[in-house]
Amino acid sequence: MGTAKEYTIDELMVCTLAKAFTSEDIILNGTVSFIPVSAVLLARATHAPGLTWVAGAVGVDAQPGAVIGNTLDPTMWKNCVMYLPQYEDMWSYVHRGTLETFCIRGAQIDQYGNINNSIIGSDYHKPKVRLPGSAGMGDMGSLDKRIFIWSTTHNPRTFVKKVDFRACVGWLDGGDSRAKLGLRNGPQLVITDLCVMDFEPDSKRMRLVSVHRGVTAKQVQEQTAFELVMPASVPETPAPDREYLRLLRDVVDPKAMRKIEFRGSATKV
Amino acid sequence: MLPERKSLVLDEHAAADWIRDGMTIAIGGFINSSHPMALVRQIIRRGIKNLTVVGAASGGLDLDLLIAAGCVKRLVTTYMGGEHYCPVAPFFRIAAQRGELDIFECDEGMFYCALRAAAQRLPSTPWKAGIGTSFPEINPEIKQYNDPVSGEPMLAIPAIKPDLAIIYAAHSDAFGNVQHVGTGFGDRAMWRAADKTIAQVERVIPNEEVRKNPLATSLVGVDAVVRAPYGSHPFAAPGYYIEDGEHIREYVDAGNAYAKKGDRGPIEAYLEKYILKPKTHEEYLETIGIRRLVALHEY
Repeated sequence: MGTAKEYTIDELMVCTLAKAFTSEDIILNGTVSFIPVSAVLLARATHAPGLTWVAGAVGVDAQPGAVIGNTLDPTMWKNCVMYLPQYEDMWSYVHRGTLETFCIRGAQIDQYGNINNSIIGSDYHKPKVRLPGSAGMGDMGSLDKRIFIWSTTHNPRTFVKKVDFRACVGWLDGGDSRAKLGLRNGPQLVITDLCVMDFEPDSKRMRLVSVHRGVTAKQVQEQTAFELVMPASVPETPAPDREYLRLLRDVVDPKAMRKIEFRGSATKV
Repeated sequence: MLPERKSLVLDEHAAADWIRDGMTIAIGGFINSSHPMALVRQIIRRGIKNLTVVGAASGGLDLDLLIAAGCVKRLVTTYMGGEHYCPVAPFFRIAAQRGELDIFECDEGMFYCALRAAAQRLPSTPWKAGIGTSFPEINPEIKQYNDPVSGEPMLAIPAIKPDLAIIYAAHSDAFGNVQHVGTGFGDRAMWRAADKTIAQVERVIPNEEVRKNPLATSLVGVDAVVRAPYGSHPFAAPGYYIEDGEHIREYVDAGNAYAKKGDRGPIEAYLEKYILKPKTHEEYLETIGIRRLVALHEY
């Protein structure tokens, strides 16, 4: 297939996330999720034809053809096999594990993959910054989901030592603290505009896996407010396959809606 | 001759008579889709105050508009944003930062627990998710306990019982047999929990049409039906129209002028132009204009 020479960070993030999905995955998406939705459609068009996507948590196995609107937009439910009733069925599907994979971004992400999108500040009732709220991520975090975290703003304000409000439980306080509460699975991978990270299996601390082209491990650490687990050598994030890139650009997201997610990012795409 | 069945169809003014200061009102839909905006605008026009608003899981700028107009005292919410149009609803943000808004914050699954408890006349419903989160810490009404059967830690989510639910659906007959296009999001959960429900619909259809396709019926027994074509505008209506991005941006710009510069001028102008000056839904649609409305087509 061959890898591409020319690509942008949004394209690299989508292709990298797509590679993490398999044909067995059943994935639902939340708000402003252009990168995960593009990755889902790309994985399904390439190595994961059996992947089931629940568009906007409503349209099961939807086939809109391309990213054509908001990721929660009813237009994205096109050609689905079923509308999943949000009240009657969706949360049962989530509890019983049918829906096991979820992608989350947030205003704050800490070293154990706990996520906050509710408030910034120490006084909940009079916050410094009020954020939109957690939508469904709070439930997802506690319900045994495999969580993929993405962020287009890898900086010390987003990657904090401790979140101001724990809306979504990641690896909690690290070690076996999540398991002790009886919660299975947890955050798997973190894909940002600078790098790819995972979680060190014993401590559950965030660990650098690879850096994107032109970024150094030192720069990633400088843009992270906690100490990353740093392997002896950190490779460059593999460039996207040429065919993946063609499909992303021409078929999956021809309007490049994914770039909307880079508003406010230091990375220009 | 058989006696005639009583029609539940009301005009928007008669329906708005049901809404009073201080009530708990649930508002259906989902983020940028399917909100009963003709009724929401009536609430603002009438200057109704001190509402406890139970936003959808999730709501958005429909609720922010009510906050901007000073109608809301307490808000039950899971998310307050407008997708890519705005990451945080502007009036919600400022009111929350000033401590002016009483917020019952929960996650979507918890929200449905609260409505389920109300529907089933239970004081609370157990929920496994949310364990380990900050929700029970900041919200004393959500309590953690150990399940008496298994000993597992659980959250008790208290019942939230709306006095009235107002929802948007594509169709209803005159007798309150409602047919959504799509899932209807959480509208059915609101109907189950609320004392009364008003369905605002795109079209009132004959009872025979409902009977031709009973599988499409999503709700029976709503208490009133209000016909308001394009009544979810500026938000989308599955099967009918997409959201009006240009209009939503106009609102967001007005919100940002306030949130970033403290300037209420643009929102006052917005409220005057689109809500206070038009006295009816039809006058609102005239203000928006036929060209804009018919352009909101997804193909």
